[in-house]
Amino acid sequence: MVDGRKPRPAFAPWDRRALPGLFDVEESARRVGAYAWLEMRLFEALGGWIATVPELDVKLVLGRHCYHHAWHAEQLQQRLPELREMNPARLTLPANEGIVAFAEALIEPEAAEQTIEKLVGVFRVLLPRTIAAYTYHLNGTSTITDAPTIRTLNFLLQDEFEDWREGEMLLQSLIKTPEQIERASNRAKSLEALIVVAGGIAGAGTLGEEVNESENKSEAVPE
Amino acid sequence: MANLLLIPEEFTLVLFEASRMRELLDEVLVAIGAPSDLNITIEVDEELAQPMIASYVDVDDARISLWYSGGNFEDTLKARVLDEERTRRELGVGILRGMDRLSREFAGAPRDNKLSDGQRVLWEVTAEGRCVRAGIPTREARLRYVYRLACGFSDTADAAYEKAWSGGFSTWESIADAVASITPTAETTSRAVRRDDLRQIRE
Amino acid sequence: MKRFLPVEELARDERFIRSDLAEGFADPRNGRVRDRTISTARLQPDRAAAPDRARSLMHGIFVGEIQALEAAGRTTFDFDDADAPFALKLDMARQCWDESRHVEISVKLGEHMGTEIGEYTEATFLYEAACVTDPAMRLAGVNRALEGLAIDVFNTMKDFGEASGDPVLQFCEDWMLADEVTHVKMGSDWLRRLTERDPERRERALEFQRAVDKLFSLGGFRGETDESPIQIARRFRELAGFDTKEIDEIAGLAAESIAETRALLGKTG
Ligand SMILES: [Fe+2]
Ligand SMILES: [Fe+2]
Repeated sequence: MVDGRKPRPAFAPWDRRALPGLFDVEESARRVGAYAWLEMRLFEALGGWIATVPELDVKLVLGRHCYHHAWHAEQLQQRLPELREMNPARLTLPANEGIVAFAEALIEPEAAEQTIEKLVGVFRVLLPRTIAAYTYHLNGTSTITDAPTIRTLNFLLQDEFEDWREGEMLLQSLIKTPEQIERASNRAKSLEALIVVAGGIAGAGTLGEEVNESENKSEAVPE
Repeated sequence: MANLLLIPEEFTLVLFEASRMRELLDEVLVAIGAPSDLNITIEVDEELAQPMIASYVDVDDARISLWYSGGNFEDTLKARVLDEERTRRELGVGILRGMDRLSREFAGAPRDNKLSDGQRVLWEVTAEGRCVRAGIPTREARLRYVYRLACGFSDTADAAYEKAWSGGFSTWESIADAVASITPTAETTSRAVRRDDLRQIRE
Repeated sequence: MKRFLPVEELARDERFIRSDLAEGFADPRNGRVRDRTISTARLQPDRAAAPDRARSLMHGIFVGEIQALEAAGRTTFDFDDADAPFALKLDMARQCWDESRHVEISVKLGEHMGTEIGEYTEATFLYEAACVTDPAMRLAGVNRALEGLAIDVFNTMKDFGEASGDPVLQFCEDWMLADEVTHVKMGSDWLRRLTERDPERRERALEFQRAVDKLFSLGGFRGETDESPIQIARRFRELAGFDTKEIDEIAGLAAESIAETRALLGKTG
């Protein structure tokens, strides 16, 4: 019989979670707000594009992914009041002006002939960046104090991985000629340049690179 | 070729060319290997547009008598325009069923307006199968659905369909027996009234 | 990408052919069939030409689902957060996913019914209703009038599946019906919220909804008598937040429209 009165440690021997983390409350909240802002721009763009792509399978995938990213934005915003921001809209901000420029360029293609440009922006530039940033966040933040953010990011990452894979497969099925290869790489190149300038989806230091303290905060631009 | 009486002689409500319809009929007769001395009446009710389609195949005084809704020949994408592929199929099925009626094997078959939906469609399936083998393209997926609506969505019904499609029924009795053996769903019992709705009005 | 995409710019592959409305109106066969006493116009398996009427209706549902998907998608993009709050856009994004599934279901159902993409033409009324620039009007016209029509159509198709013993049709329509009820509810909820302090705006939106409802009652297409192929689904409409008065109003539009058509054809009774 197990004796319930015998003291056991709060952490089982295999539970290696530790207190220290890379972010304080303010920084975790800033990042979550920046993710939410970009997820919003993304789901709006996907929604708007549905009517502009002639490929039926792409149309249907955009419809499905549109909801995934809207739901991500909602999940992220729900975390903000728990991170001391009672008005989630106030922290749902782009990390810096560079990210605003990136989002504008991402959303720009409209013509029916530009499906490759639309999909490259989302699946070859943006989603790899969100996957990287969310992974950095959950690996770096305190596994005890910021556990709710980690849980949310894990849910999001599951979608991001699956959506990225689906989008990449669509792209591989669409890119067949030297001209299309050229278009896809040009598009990736121009967007990549913008997001590199921005420093990543959460601004400078998205993946923990050395940052000059003032870099993000001073550049944050309310919408 | 056959002795054809086309009613109307020229079309006025739809944009079908009567001469083109005669040419298509000749093509079909050659394809299915019809005898050259057939007497045929084709009556087209121009007022009925697709999807209000219906047809009757009977024999009167050794003359094959076909009645069609204009919709049977109409392009689904261009109103009032003749769809040649559909026309070949409709005429092929009609003539083949008419030739059946002229034969001893189908002597006991009731007139079309006395057939149940199931009997009628299963017979059509045998004719469409023959059309395909004669090189006349058909819409098999559509036919299968029309058949299932009449005979039920069941494995037994599907088995009878396959048999009919591959030429397994060559007498009226075999068709009638097959339909009788398919367990009918509540709604697939005899209802000759269906096609009458479209035709009766002229009579 | 610009805001507000006009109907002419909807992107389609080569299988899709737009309906030519002018050609339809000029068809000399119009009215002649109606003049011939065909007993009931209801979509029932034992009715004249039922298989092909059901098949062409299925194709119409398919293109309608595509446009519903596109319309909901545009509503996530066309408006500022001030005009359409995030929660509204979230609902529209959810609707995108639902309509996307409805397109998938419709493609499979179309195959089951022996039709194929592009067998019939595409009318774009649905998306046109989504081109209005006031989100309250758009929600009223699309989510209340057109999604309401979808409830009636799916219920009619479900009945048709039941009556014809078609388990696939019954199953699919049952699921789609469940989604459409939530879409209509979204429309009702957001219309109320967006126009809470602006009764005039609400009236304009409802007026637009009535105009769209009337369009689809044209010639008695949708109603409560034997003259209408599509029957009003009162029970599901109630679930979706319509009150009895509103449903009576739609039934009234249908009766009105049948009477007008009769008058036009010089027919009485
Ligand atoms: Fe739908
Ligand atoms: Fe819907």
